[in-house]
Amino acid sequence: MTPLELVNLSKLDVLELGSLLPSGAMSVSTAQEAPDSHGELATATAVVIVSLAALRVLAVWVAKNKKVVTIRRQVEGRDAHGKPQSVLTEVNIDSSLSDPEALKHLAKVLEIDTEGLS
Amino acid sequence: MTDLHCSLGDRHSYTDPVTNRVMISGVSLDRDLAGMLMVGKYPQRLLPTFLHEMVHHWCFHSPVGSVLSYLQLRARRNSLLLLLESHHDPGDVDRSFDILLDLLRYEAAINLMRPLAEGMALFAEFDVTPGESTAISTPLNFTYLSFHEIESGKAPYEGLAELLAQHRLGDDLMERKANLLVQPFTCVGGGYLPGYMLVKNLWLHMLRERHCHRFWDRDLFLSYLQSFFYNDYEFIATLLSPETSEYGVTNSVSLYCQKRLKDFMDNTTDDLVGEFETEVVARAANRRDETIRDLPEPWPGSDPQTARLGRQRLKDLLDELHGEADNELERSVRRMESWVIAQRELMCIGSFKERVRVNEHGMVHVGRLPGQEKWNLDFIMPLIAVGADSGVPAQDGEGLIEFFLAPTSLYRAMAITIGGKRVATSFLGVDVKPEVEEQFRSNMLGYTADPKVRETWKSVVSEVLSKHGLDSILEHYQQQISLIANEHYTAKALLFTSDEDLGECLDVLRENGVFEVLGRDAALVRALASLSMAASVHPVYDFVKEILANSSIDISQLLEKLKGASSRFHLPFVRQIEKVLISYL
Repeated sequence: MTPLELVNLSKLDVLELGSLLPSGAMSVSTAQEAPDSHGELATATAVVIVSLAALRVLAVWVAKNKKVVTIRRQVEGRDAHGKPQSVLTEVNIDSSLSDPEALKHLAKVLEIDTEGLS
Repeated sequence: MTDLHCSLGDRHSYTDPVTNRVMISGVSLDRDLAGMLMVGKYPQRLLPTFLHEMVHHWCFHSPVGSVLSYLQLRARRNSLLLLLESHHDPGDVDRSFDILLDLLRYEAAINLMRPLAEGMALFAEFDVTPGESTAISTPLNFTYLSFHEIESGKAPYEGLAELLAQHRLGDDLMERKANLLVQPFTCVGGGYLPGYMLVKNLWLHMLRERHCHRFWDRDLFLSYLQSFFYNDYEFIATLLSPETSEYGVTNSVSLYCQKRLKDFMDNTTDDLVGEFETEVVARAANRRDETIRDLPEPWPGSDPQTARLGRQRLKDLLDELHGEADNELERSVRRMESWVIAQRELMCIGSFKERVRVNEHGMVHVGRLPGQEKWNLDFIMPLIAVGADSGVPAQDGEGLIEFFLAPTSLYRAMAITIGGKRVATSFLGVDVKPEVEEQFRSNMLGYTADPKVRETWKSVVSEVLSKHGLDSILEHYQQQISLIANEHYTAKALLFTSDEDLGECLDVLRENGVFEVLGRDAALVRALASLSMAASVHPVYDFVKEILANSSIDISQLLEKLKGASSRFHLPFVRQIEKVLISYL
């Protein structure tokens, strides 16, 4: 499965996720300093390798901090230029959900079958 | 490192110190059009960014800001002329050294002042509120006019403190503050955290040690700081001194900056602040007639002789920029410079690319135009319809719609261009004098919003330097300036940490700010941010306790944890004096 990209993260988000996710599960790229065009607000993008443990951490983190997190993921098919297609999904999770419920919700929104994950 | 001054965590909003062009991102024409056109309706979610960039714009629209802009413009012009000349003579070497000197003056000043500039902008976001003084800073004035609906019969600025409090107690600004607290404690990359801590600690120092009680008005403190550092003719005298060589400029600028900060800390008195306040109020009464040619009076505490010298050197520099050109190329570059200088007053608060059509009846229509049905728009009707400027022919194309504030002349305007050519200008909401209207239209003739222009100039300058083998000298001094900035700010930003504990404190803050100090506990960082925001709104224990309780934070436990981290790493976070809570961060 291709990794998930969490976009528009602050440095605090990155530090927090880095300390929660399994070692080596996340890499980070920061936005360019000098902007050239009108664009989305962006700070850092975290690329997270999908595993059951990583999804659990993400679900609990999103719910606990009452965040709206934008996640980019690849989907089936290619665009007009032959590049893999990706979609952006805005995820927020009700903080009153239990941890397993939060995971289930995240997996559903991202269309990930957790059965096949280790 | 870029010299664009950005909002923290928002790399697409920025201010360019040379053109003073502001870019506030995250606005869309469909969603935010009313906010651009109407007083008090600017999108609320953009208040922190607006305030941040407005502070930068205000600082750069000053004598020091103007000098820096002129130095950079002169270096660009001279580089282009040198590059395009067909014949070369031995004098070219001297000319290339002059270019280097202008660049070094600019680099030294802009980089040594950058953390202060960011600190002031962040202090405005998180701390500044109007107080007892009748003087109000330009950023707060325009924040009020842009985000607060004015009701007749209300006292001036009524509701401004509440507006700011509402934002500061909200999740977005708390998260922004928490993110600031984990920034690196270094001046590389903007120096956000040391800059903010410097400004906040200077404020506390002025109250505690210098007994400047007028600074309980944090907006007055910000105004004083802006004027002290950016209306500083003594600095201009140093910066433009003809005795300074390219090898000595970094040193003289850095020594001056250290001296100036020391002057601020040692010599500011409540009486001096009172004098300043009186002058600001008097100046505000006739600001509508000010232009950049009307330089502000020297600082009340300045050495009059050096200040006069600085003022004269700035005037000479201005005259040089408006001087005679030797050829057509130079004439057109100088014309462009004049436009850049004239436009420095304007702050762009919204910029949109849209389809624009000028019809045969002289009307300009923007967006959602007939012929765009294939885009499946909900409806076909122009979002904006205004009269074209006189003499503009019928045309159609990709256009740019920009909304401007003029903080000194106090007007708001919209300009519409197609392919870089102005097709319409419109003044919003206030009566504007015909000569000001004319000035704005004329400015828009040479206006360019294309950021690629900046990059092109950069490459012209760097080509000339590299051709004359001076690029490595510039690079060497840039590195040196960066080291000096770190030394200059980091110790001063930890004003309440003793000298013997400074090294340890700096080490732990260096990479991730307070994240390590607080045991890599992000929730504790957020709790500290909430506490500091609540204390900035109302520094009373019971109020802060209630605000924290709303986020399920127990104030006693939090204060205990902060006390532990504080004594371990010698970094004060919060001080309780009876029922008052003072936040150091």
